[in-house]
Amino acid sequence: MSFISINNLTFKYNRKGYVIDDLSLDIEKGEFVCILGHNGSGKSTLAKLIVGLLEPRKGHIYVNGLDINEEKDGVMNIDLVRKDMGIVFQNPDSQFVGITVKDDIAFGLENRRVSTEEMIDAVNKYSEKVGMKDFLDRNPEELSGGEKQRVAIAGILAMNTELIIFDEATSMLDPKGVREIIALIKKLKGQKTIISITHNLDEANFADRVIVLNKGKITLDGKPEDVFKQFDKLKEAGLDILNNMKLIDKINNSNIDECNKKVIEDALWELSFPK
Amino acid sequence: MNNKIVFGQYINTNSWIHRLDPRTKLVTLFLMMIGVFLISNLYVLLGCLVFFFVVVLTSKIPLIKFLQSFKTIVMLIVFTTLFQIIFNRNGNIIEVKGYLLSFDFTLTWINLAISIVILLIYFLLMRYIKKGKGIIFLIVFFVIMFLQYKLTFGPVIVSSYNIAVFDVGLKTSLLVLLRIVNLLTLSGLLTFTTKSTDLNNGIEGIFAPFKFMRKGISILAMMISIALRFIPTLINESTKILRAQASRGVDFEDGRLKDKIFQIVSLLVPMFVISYKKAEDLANAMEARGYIPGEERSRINVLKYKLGDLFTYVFLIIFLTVIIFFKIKGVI
Ligand SMILES: Nc1ncnc2c1ncn2[C@@H]1O[C@H](COP(=O)(O)OP(=O)(O)OP(=O)(O)O)[C@@H](O)[C@H]1O
Ligand SMILES: [Mg+2]
Repeated sequence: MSFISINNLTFKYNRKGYVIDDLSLDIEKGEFVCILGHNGSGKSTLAKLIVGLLEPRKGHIYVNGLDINEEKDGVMNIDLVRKDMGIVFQNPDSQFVGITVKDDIAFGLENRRVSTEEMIDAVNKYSEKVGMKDFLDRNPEELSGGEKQRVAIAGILAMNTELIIFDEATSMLDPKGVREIIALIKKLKGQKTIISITHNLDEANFADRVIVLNKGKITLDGKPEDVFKQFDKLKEAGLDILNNMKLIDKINNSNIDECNKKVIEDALWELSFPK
Repeated sequence: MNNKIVFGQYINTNSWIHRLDPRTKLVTLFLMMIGVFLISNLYVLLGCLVFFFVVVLTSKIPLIKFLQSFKTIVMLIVFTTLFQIIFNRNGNIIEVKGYLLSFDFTLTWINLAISIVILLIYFLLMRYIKKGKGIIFLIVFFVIMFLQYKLTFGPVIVSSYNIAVFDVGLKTSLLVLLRIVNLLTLSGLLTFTTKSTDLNNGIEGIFAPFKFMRKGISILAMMISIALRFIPTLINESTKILRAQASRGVDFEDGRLKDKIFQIVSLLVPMFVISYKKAEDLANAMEARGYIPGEERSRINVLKYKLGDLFTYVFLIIFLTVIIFFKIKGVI
């Protein structure tokens, strides 16, 4: 069985229509998957279902072969597999649990009863990685949205989970910050299983696999080079990137210097997926 | 935008008090407060106060800042003390250089009218006065009383009611006053020198040895820390809402009762929705990171007692023993 196996998953909030509609998906250990989709297509909902924060109406989610919504001998399976899963949420404000940056990065480790020395090492190491080393004693009130996102990423990296889900983890960063963090995420490729909900072309192109979500269904699933050729289906999923893709192609084949290329590409990509 | 609202009044001067373990500070503060309440001798209380202020000086906290923190409560203290002095009529009337501190007042239509005019002027001017409202009110109060003392001709409404200062009354009100000031000084000493994070760790640390109630305490400590973390955020949110509503034409400055209710509702409803949404997101984030309420957790901030803590505890024990000894002897 795959590391994560989702069978005929169906979910809706209250009376509204289905947000996740009979969705099936297998993700192998070590895979780097990017999920694309327009606003409200159900990406965040899917992520919350996978980490067991929401309970499916129908269908099953297996992690490491365990159905996360079942219990065995009075222990919920989700409690057993939670140590394998970490998620960086979309909104950096309300996932900041600690009073200071240091406390927040350590929060997940404290729950696992990691020793103090190890925690201090981990906090130093991962705050350094996300460029927040000098902010360890700051309160969340004294941080920008992008800085809070960096802290959240450090907190998840420190937990060293097998699966990491990034839900638009770079949405509040400036272009330079996005590049730094994406570079960091890229480095995890091969070492960890990554599910990244993203609007970043660079990252999606780098992934092993791109999944396009539309109205709670998977409409495209495959290697990035294959997915990005399916202009009709992309357009149908609300990702109107046809013209922009053509433009990007043109730019890539022109003799503009690398730096400018990057800026234009980023801008075009943002145009295709307005936030 | 002002996003630097930090809870508490912590000032870091890295003095010896700052370096004390928060547990030591909490325990010492708590027991000293009890000690102060045991003392019922004015001079001993005064001595304690002087001593506490010497300690404040050694904490290198600017004295002005320290005193300013009393500002919000000083009026309350002054008035309660005044009322106590007036209404506590036990013992004998105090005599100063042959004059009894006893005064007869008479309320007449004339001094009532003058008083009303003064009060009107006071309330009209109040809008333009930013500082020292309390002191001005006190002055107005005394002027009105003085009118009833001296300006007693004309048709009488209430004739010669008496206000006198009694020795027992004066003593008990001064006693209460001194106790309160002592308590304020002590708690100021704690809050000026301890970060809210450390306070929280300290509370948790104090209860850590009580294994049977550890579960409850760890949940309580988490609740305190979440509250400390979110109070500034919610203050920020409320200022945002105030501005947003103001830009939609809600007037928060003045208005009648009906308007006031509307203003409060237009702030409270969005605040409630925001808090609820934030709490939900936060609960998700905590759960996803493996937090299980009441479960044992390790801590990144480990508290360690140092030499200074030992001295403080030794001093605390001496302080309490002396007080209890003299209390039993009936001296203080
Ligand atoms: N807590 C909730 N209660 C009710 N409906 C919700 C809730 N959260 C999301 N929804 C609805 O479910 C749908 C999918 O939301 P979801 O957050 O999964 O979208 P998304 O793909 O992550 O969008 P975005 O790109 O904006 O993050 C939306 O129509 C949204 O309105
Ligand atoms: Mg989302």
